Amino acid sequence: MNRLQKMARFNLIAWAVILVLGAVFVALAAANVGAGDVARQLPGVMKMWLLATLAVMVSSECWAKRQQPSRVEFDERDRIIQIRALHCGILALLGVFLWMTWLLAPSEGLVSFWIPVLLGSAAMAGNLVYSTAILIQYGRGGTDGEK
Amino acid sequence: MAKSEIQNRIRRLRFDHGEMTQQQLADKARVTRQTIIAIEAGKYAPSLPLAFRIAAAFGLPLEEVFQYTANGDAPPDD
Repeated sequence: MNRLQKMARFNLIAWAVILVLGAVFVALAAANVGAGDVARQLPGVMKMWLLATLAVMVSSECWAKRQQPSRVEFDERDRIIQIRALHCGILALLGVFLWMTWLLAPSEGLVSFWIPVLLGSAAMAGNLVYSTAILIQYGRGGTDGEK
Repeated sequence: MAKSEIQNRIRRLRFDHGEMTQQQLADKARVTRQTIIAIEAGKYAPSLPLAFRIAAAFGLPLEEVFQYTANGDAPPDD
């Protein structure tokens, strides 16, 4: 498993943990203070979500450090895979952004209250699709025929 | 996945060259072992510079390592 795959796997695991913890947090908060109050706090939560996206991306870069500096760890095939995954990620980001805008902005326009929600959702979708596309292109389990 | 139109004899040549490992070939061609695995399996068609580097690692001309087949059929192995 190479550096790019490790980064993608780290991203997906980190997002799974964040989503599960986030769902538990929201459920607990809704049980304690009521769903209406939680909904009002949603933009604040989504700002944290944006920060979490950045944190996951930065930490995955640091975590998947080079293990053997003398060996090539990123070559032309990895570059092609990364570029394709990036295209998929950008498409997902734009798609989710437009869909959420359409969903959240009725005819009178988008309320600034929802902007962090929009950006957070788009960033998360882009990151998830990017990571998934990397793992899919490398093959089942990412081992690509290695024994 | 469909077989590539570019066939190769890398696996055979590795064994003919003192059972060279995939990692040794990868180091010589300046790519990752996964890329060598993908090329050997016909899952990835290398760029022209990489194809030349792989051929140079075996000390052979390009056409003795890689062959083009229009319909993706395997070339006759000698």
